[in-house]
This record gives sequence, C-alpha cells and structure tokens, in this order.
Amino acid sequence: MPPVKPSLQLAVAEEYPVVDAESRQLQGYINQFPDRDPIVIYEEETERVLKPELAGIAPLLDMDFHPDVESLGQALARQRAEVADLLDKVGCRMAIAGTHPDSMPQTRTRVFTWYSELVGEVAVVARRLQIYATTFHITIGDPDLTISVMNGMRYLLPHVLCLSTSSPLWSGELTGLKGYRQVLRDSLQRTNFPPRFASRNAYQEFLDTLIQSNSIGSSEAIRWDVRANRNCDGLIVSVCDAITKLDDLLTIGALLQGIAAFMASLTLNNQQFRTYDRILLMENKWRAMRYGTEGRLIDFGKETEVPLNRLMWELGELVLPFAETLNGTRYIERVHDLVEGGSSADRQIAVWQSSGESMQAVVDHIVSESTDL
Amino acid sequence: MKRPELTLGVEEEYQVVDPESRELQSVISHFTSRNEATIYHRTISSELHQSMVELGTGVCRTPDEVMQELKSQREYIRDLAAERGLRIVAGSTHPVSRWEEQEISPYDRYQSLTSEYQIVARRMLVWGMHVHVGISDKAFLMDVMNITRYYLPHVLALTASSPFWGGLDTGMKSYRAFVADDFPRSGMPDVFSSWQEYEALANTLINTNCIDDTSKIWWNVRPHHTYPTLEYRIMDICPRMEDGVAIAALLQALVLWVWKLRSKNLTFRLFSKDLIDENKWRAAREGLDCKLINLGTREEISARTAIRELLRMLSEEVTELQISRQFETIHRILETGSSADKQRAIYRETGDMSKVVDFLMEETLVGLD
Repeated sequence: MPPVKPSLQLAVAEEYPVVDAESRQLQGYINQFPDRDPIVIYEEETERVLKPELAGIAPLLDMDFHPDVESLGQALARQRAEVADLLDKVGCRMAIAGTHPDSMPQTRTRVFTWYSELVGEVAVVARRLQIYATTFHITIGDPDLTISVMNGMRYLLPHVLCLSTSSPLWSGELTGLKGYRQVLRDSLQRTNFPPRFASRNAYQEFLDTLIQSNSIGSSEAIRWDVRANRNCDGLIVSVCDAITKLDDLLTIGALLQGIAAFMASLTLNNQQFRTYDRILLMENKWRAMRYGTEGRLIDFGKETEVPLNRLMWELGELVLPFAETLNGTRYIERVHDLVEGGSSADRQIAVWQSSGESMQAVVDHIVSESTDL
Repeated sequence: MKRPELTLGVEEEYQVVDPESRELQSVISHFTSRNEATIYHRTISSELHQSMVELGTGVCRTPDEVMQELKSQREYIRDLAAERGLRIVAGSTHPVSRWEEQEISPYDRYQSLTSEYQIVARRMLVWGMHVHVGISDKAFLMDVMNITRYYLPHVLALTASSPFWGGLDTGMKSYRAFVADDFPRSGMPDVFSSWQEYEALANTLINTNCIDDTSKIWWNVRPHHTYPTLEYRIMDICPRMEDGVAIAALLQALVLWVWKLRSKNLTFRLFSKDLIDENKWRAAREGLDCKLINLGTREEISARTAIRELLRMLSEEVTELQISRQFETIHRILETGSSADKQRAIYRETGDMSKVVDFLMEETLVGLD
C-alpha cells in the first residue's frame, strides 16, 4: 500500500502565565490543552477571587487545526487579544514566557493539579515545574509516516528550541541559560528526545510494555519533545518555551510545518534523514538551552560547530520549497531576523541588565511583547 | 578471554557541617591547602562546592580491603574536620542547607564548570559514592556496562539517602538522582554495540568541542577515563560505611556473573534506556517500597522481591568471592530500609530536621575507631 500524502495541518496549544498587574507576581496560568483544566490559579485565596471572573476565557481558546500559518496567526491574535482584555478586567496580565522571572515556587501553598498528577505526591518536584510551553500539533495521516517523520525531526529540535528560548530567569535568579525551562522539564519521566523507532510496530511494542507494566495508562503520559499523538496520525512538538511574541511563534510554526513536510517527502522518496545517537543530539540541545540564538550547534554530518544563523540558511533551503505550498514562505524568511535580533530570552536579559536587575521591568517587558499583536 | 581483574575502588563524597548550627560549612580550600600530600593511596579532592570533600580508596582486591581503606579515610577526614570543630556527614543531600547560599570551590576546574553549566552546576549540592570495578578488556567492559544497567535502579533503591532538600521533604527517596540528571551527559547511557562505537562517540564529542576528555561524561555507569575500570555512579552515598561496602561487593558479583555468562556464550537481554529509566524513576521516588518492572515479563514486582531474586541469582558468585557477609548486610537493608527511610522516620517522629542531621552525623561514624 503506498504511503499516504501527509496532511500537515497545524494547531497550537499556548500556555499563558497570568500575573497580577500591580505586584507582577504569578497568579496562575491559562492553557489550551483540550484535556486539561483551561484555567489554573495557584493560590486558594486568589482562586476564589479570580476563577468566576475568568470562566469566560475557556470558550475563547482556539482548538482548531489550520491549513497554514496565516490562518493560525489570525486565530491566535484574536485569542491573545480577547484573553488579555478579560484579564485586564480582573487586574491581571499575561506574561508569556517559559518561566516567570522571580516567582518562588517553594512558597506556593497549592500544587496545581496537572503536574501533581504527573508526579504523584512529589511536591517539591511539582512545585519547581512552574514552566510554560508553546506546543505545536502537526497532522501527518499515516502512522508509519508519523513515526518516520518523528525519527527525522529529532535532529532539528535543538535548532527550533534556540529560536523559542524565553526562560533565562527563574526564582529571582539569572540562570545563565537562555532556556532553563527544558532543564526543569527534562527531569520528569519520559521527556527529552524519543528513541529512534524502527517502525510503528516497534513504537507500539514500546507502548505495550509501559502499559502492561502499569507505568502509563496511555500514550498521553509520554512527554517527549516530539511524539506521536494518541492515534499515531500526527505529531506533538513540545520542545519550545512559551513563545512570547506572536510573530516569533508563527515563524517557528512555519518552520516546523516545513520540516515535517521535508521529512515526509524524504520517506515518500525512500530516503530518510540520517539518524544520530541521542547522546549527540543532547549536546546540541544543551547548547540550545545554554546559548539560545547565540549558540553554535554541531553539524554532526560534518562534525563541526556552526553558528545558528548559517544552519538556518541551510535549513531554510531545505524547507522553503515546501513552505511555498503551505503559504509559509514569508514567515520562514523571518527566521534570520529572529536569529539576528535574538529570542525573548536575549531581550529579557537585556531589560534585566538595563533596568538595574529589576524583575518587575522584565515582567512588564514580557507582558508588552505578549500583547504586541 | 581472561577473567576480569574485579578489583574494587570506592570514592566517597562527604559533607562538612557545623555541629551547632547543623549547616554546611565552606572549608575545602583550607583542607586542601594544608593537605596536599597523599594520604595512604589517595589525595583529598576538592569538589564543586566548598562544603564537599571527596576521598577515594586505592585499588582493593576484596570488599574487606575496601572496608579497611574507607575506615581509614573516614577517620582521617573526621579528625581533620574535628580540628576545626566540624563534623562530617555521608548523605546525598543536606536536609536544610540551600544551594543558593553555598560557595563554589576556588579551583579552576570548578570555576570553569560553573561558567559553562551555570545554574545547573550551582544547584548541584549533592553527594554520591562511586564504585570502580577493574575490567581491563575493553570489549568485555562494554558488555558489562550494557547488561548491568538493568540492575542499577535496584542499587539506587538500596542506597537512597536524599529525601530532604532545602528544608523540605521532597517526597522522593533519592532526590539526588533527580538533581544530578540536570547535567548534560548524565543519567542512564544508551546501549553501545561495541567499545569502538563508544570510542567513536567520545571522539565526536571531543572533536566538536563538547568536552575536553571523557571525564565530562557523567552517566550512571561509565568507562573511567583514566583507570581500567567500569565506574558505577548511580548510588546515593550510604551513611553507614558497611552498607557502601556491601554495594561494592554486589557490583563485583554482578560483573563476575556477566563474565560467567560470557564464558558460556550467553548474554543478558539488553533493554533501552527509556525502559530502564522507568525503573530508575520508581527507585528514586519510592526506594525499596517501589515496584520495579521485570522488563522481560512486563510484570511489576516489589523492589524487595526483585532484589532478593538478584541476590539469589548471584549465589555462586557470592561463594566464589567470599562476600556472604556483605550480602547479609544487603538483606539487613532490605528489612530495615535504606537511609532515606530512616531519615524520614526520624523527621516524622521529631518534626526537627536538625535531628536528621544529628542522626546522619552518628551513622557516618559507625564502625570507626
């Protein structure tokens, strides 16, 4: 049976950290994951005050798949604007970033539900996971093709992570990393890079072992940076920090859509992207977390370090032919501006430095970029 | 193929604490500037934070020799600390001291680690125990590394000694396992098809400026970069010296078991890192109270039962290596719990973290003169 042409529809699940407009402290977050509580407020006291007011947000959240980034962008711009308006009415703002700069996880009295389910009663672990992501969903169609694209896409995830980094500050500390969120996230089970699977059957066998041994209830308990969805007919990419600027999000979305199209095309032509050991892929991921857009990633084919900008030129050449058919060209052309101008992490650090290390100034900056639509 | 040497070497990292405040103390630069001479077969090594001291035994043929050497080194560092009114603690986290308040060692290696790894290095306020087993045949060493990964969660459950962190009960038995994996090149290694494949990977890392040498690979088990040994690093440090020695004996027996399989043209099924990590998480989370997965049958089995099965499996090796006393110690740990269980019981009883530190100080000295 010939493989199915990939469908390549795109959806995004955003997470919006909510801060108090006065104190700039974290109050909770709003997320678009369809299977999770859309509004999570951290403190019990705050919850009583805010929850009824914010109930109107849930219907505003966009859960649809879009044929291209253009259409996705319109939906998200509307969503961000409407959510920001509602938050404004209750004295809150959204500060979209991988971490809140100075909220102290240790002092929270209530561990929020979704993460506490993940880690049982491991309160300290759950509390440090006040981290936020932008998660991309890409439909593929055929399960074998989905696994093949997942295998190939692993290599390019650090490149994408560089562009999205937005978590340089955590618990009032300058972490020295651009994407500290991934360090925190990777301490959970079944995170980070997936192994390479020889086929859909091999993937299914892996799942069966975990399910039969009561390790997981379903594939949804797997949180790899790229993973197959429940029906194994699409991919979920969760390597990105919560992306502050909508323009950056759309650029990265177009890039991921283009990468998926490129990888699928290789498979359909009986080729594949060369697969590398996870230990090597991790080196690039570390560099992405540590240095973001200033990183030099390793081209493992050539065994040399290459600045991100040059790698992005090469990647652009691979994906542009596909982006043209997906209306993504003008977004992918922005990748170089993103690399040159830096990611949200670079701008947060610049604000922190120029404001005399004011965390409030950083939060204000994030709020401003989050709603720059 | 020649039988492996099966020599043993153990490195232990100790906390230095003030017996009054029970907090960690920054002292290592004082210790090392005074004591640059070799002590027995070893030198005091500074560690990342100023409040950490590392000592290692020389090459030992038996667990009994390891015991003798550990005793000497613990007595030595105990006395050195006592001269300054301080005490030593063998435990994988300090119950109350916070990483934000610790000084980094002034030595180049640690300054450079902090510069590269930033907050990841600064948070690394954890102590471990490393056991080296002598295996000079590289091909066989890789076999042993691949196979024995399966049993590392079992070993972690036996040694778990880090339930507290920064004054909080973490809900885990080994929080160290969790913190230590923040470093790149840490955690459980993948399977290598040969020594050559490992070398090729290491060379790629060196050629691409990821590492200067393989000392910066920090997997739970790794070929040592200098010694002809396989180095097991998954363990929390055991406050009681004899417990650590028992673990060294267990690892020695496991290596002999793999060699015996090999000499009969047999091997053990290799499982992916992802599946072994399921067991590691369970062991770090609940220690000896967890259920481990028999990855062959896909069934859950209590950690205690799984470890007792392992001990039975190694009965021939125990006789051959004359380590039944050390295996009795492991049976005792299975009955009474690992250090994490005891620490948590004390905290539950007293509600006082300083009592936990006192307990750790006492346990660290058990068996010393």
